[in-house]
Formats: sequence, structure tokens, C-alpha cells
Amino acid sequence: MTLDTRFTLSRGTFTLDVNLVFNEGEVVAIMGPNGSGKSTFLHAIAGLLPVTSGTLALNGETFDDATADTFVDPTQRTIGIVFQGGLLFETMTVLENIVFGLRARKIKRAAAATQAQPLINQFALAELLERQPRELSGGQAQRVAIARVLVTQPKVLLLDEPMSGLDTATRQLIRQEFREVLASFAGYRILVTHDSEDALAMADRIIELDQGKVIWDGPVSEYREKR
Amino acid sequence: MSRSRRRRQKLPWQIVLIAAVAAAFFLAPFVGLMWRTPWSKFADIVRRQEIRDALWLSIKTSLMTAVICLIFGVPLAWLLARVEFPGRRFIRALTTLSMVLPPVVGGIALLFTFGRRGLIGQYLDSWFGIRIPFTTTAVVMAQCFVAMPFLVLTVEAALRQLDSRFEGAARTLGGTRWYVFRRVTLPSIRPSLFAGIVLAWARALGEFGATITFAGNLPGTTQTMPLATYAALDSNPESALILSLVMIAIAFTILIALRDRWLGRAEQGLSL
Repeated sequence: MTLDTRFTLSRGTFTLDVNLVFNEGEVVAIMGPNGSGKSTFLHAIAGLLPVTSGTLALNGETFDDATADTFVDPTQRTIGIVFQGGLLFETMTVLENIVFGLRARKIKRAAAATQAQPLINQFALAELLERQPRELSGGQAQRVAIARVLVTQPKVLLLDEPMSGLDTATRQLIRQEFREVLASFAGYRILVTHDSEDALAMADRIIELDQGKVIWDGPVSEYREKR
Repeated sequence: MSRSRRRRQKLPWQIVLIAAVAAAFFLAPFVGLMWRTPWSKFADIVRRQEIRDALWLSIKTSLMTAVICLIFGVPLAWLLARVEFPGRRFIRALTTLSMVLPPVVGGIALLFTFGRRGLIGQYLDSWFGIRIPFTTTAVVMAQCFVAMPFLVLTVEAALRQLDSRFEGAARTLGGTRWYVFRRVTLPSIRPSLFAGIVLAWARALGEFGATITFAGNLPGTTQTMPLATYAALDSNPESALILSLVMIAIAFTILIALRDRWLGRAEQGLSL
């Protein structure tokens, strides 16, 4: 079982060109400077951007094939993505944010809340359920963001700079929490970061992107030696 | 900037003087109007049947217009803001055109399209026996024609400012486009949506040129407040004064009630 990403994706003058295979169970960190194509890569996997050529497939099911005109809608991909800054919906409470994916699947309010309860407990969010996202600290917002994704039981977990914008103390705390989340998640796990500390602390394999191209791909031990 | 610093700044008296003239220019007509208003007859005139008919017709048609603008204008605004399609600029220009056009031109265009011999009107008449001109329906159509752009442009600007990544996030969580539109997009642009509705409604309430051209001036059917006011100016100037005053009162109420709550907050989204 693999996640196959063999595609190019052009946006204006920028082109992302990848030929990468991900294995279930490994934690992969994608690194690179701003504008190297890290987020674009995740957005393509999630179905927010269509590929320009090539294919994208999960466990043999083609999600996106430019030549065959196949494009699986983001709602059908079972891919969870935690965005930079959390992207919590400002017009909803914390609870409404968490159960959004369940409510979108026509699960009744009460049933959705029950279903989300284990995650609410896991991330210690019980006290915050009625709050508005703007009343949360950066760390709390990220916890809500990840609970909101996990509640949909995705097969792939994508984390897009989950620690950016957090202060150093919170970062330490959240890094530990994300490490636990990644460890307990059974599917594919990809973490995008420009911080090598985060990458080394959490990943098994590191991929480095620069200007849309892969310039390094190998196990974290080799990456340490390289440094 | 703190208040004390602002006070220390020297005001350029030339600008203040010119600004004062502009402000006086807006104020003077209202003073003139009030000065000539026969206050003692106010209650009598407002209670007259034709005045009450006109007022009721104005309220009824303008509210219908606001609802129709909402139903049709929001999807149009969404399409203009979010979807790349050939002719998008043309459609936007077309939408804006009726804001710039003299309303009477809009009325003529509607008449030659939906009139009995018009492009569409002839078939409406011969196939279904529907005649639109000089009916209350025509009043609402004329109002929609001039008012909808206000809603479309306000909502479109708000949608453009809205970070589309939120909608993307909602999609990856399993929300269909329609679900995301209802639960994420619309609530996020609520202030601008209200501002757009109010602007469209206010514009509809004041509509004159397109209405009188396309719908005529039939008391009880198509004679709205502005039309009644204009008609009264000839025969009964006192009524015209009082009707004007009623409309000023309505406009003021709208502005004062909504300015801070919605229009103020939506200001940035307003690109009129």
C-alpha cells in the first residue's frame, strides 16, 4: 500500500515536479524554504489543486490523472490536512469546528458530539467547546484543528507547518503532542516544516524541496549525517 | 494618533472653508424643505388614501426587490468572485452598467424587452397572455434592475477578501460545495451581505426613472412614493413636501439604524 505522487503542477511561473512514493506507517517530513512548493504539494494531495501532468494515487486508487481526466473531489479523498495557522472557522464555536466533518456527512448534532468525545478528551478541549476560535491561544487552536481533522478518520494525515506562529514555549509543548498524534496515527503521515528541529524530532524520512524540485530524499539518520 | 496631538495640528483653513460649503450644500435643501413644510396638515395628508397606497406599495415592492436581489445576486456575486470563466469581465461590466446608466434608460430597455412588442414580451403575451408593463411586477423588475448591482458588488468584494483557504479546508473535511457555501462562506460575509441588502433595498425604495418608464404611474398599482411625490408637485405641492419628508425620515432611519452595526463594519468590502 502506497501513496504515489508522480506529477507536475504549474501555477504561473512556478512548477512543482515530484516523483515520490510514500509508505503507510512512515512519518515523512518535507522541508524547504518558502516558495519551494511544500504547501502546493500537500494541497495537490488533498485535491485543492489539480495536477498539470502525471498521476496521484492512494492505495491504487487514482485521485488525479491529467491525461485520463480523472479527478476525485477533495470530499471523497479521505485525506486530512491541518493547515498553517489552523484555519478554524471563525463564525463557529470550537465544538462546531470539531464536528464540522461529521455534520457535513449528515450526522446529527448529538451523535456527532458523542463521536467526537474521545478526541475532545484526548486533546483536553472539554472546557473550550463553547468558545470562539479567536478566544483560543495558538496552541489550543492547533489542538482544535487536529481534532477537527482526526474526527473524519482520514487515511492520510498532512500537517502544513503546524508549529509556525507559536512561541517557543508553546512550540515545545505542541511538538510533543504532535509527536504523539503522529505516533498513534496508523495511516500515511506527512509533515511540512521549514524547521529542521521539528523534522528531526518527528520524522523517519526527510524530503527536501527547492524551487519545486526534490533535492534530497532519505532516512532521517542520513540527513543528520549530511548536516 | 492621540487626540492631543491631533488638536495641536493646525487646520488648513482653505480646505475647511471649501468643505463647509459642501456640507452646507447638503444641509440647505433639507432646511428649505422643512421650512416650507405645512406641519399643521402633516397628519391629514399622511392619512390620505393615495398617500397610504403609495407608501404601502413602496414598502411592499422594495422588500420584494431586496429578497429577489438576495436570491439571484448572491450566486452571481459568488460566480464573479470565485470562478474563472470566459466573459467574466463582460458580465461584471454588464452588472455594473445599470448603476451608471440613467435609470430612465434602463426603463426604456426593459420596456423594449418585456413590453408587449418587446424581444421577450411578445412571446410572454402571445404564448401565456402575460403582460408585464404597467403592473406591480414591472415596478419590482425596474427596481431589481437598478438595485441588484449594489448587492452584487458588495458581496463580490467581500467574497474576494475572504481567504479561500477556509473554503478549501472545509472541502477537505468532507463539505460539499453547497454545504461549504452555506456553513462557511455565507456566515463569514454576513456583515457585507446585510450591507448589500440594505443598499439594494434603499436604492429600490428611491427608484423613479426606470419605474415611471417601464411601469408607469398608476395610483395603487405602480405609483410608488417617489412617483407620488413627483405627481403631487404639480397639483398639490404641500403633499409633495410632506411625502419628501416621509422619505427623508425613512432614509435617515435606515442610515442611523444600520450604519454602525453593519455598514460600518462592511466598509472595507464596499467598492462602490
